[in-house]
Amino acid sequence: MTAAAVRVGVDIVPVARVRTMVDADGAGPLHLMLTAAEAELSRLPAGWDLHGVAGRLAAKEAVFKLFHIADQPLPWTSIEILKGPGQWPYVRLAGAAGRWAAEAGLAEIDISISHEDQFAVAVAAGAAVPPTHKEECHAEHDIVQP
Amino acid sequence: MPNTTSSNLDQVRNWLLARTTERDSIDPDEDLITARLVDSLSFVEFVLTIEEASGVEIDREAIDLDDFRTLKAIERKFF
Repeated sequence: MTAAAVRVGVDIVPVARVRTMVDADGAGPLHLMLTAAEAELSRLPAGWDLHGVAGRLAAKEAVFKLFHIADQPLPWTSIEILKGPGQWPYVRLAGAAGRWAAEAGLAEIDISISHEDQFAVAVAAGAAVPPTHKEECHAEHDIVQP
Repeated sequence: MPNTTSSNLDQVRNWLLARTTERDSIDPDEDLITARLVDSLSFVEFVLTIEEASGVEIDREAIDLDDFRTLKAIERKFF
């Protein structure tokens, strides 16, 4: 039996960085960093929920750090940060992120997000159990917490 | 390859310099990521800037970070 190794990722995003991404039309590069489902969750009646976006981006970076992948850009839209029952955030992976999670043996990932006036911070944690034999890596891979 | 000049690469250089108050120049061989002139949060905009300056459409699924590490590498690959 292979022992699980706990992996933790953390990231912080200044809300000001998100504000600069939002151009006059309210889009900027965010449409390349958030999926349609995430964009819908990140909207307020008055426009983008800047703190919500900052938290979501921080969570994506925190999850990416769990993969221990070097020399690859963060595949923003293949790591989705959504909301489950009770408004708890959960992670849904697809594409490259799904493959990397499978290769690392990350069967479950949990995240926590917090924001204050100027910053959002997120922590991701997972138990990595490397496959004991060659396993297929699935392009679609959902990891759901509550 | 599109017909571009060094002024197109200057668009990329100026975009980088506009994001920092601590620099007024960038060596062509300087690693932009190690120097924190580009980070994961700004990388999407960075790619968009290179596309706009070079006229080259960049396949996000096939990005090799080494092509983006230095201004010299960017010029070689996209201009």
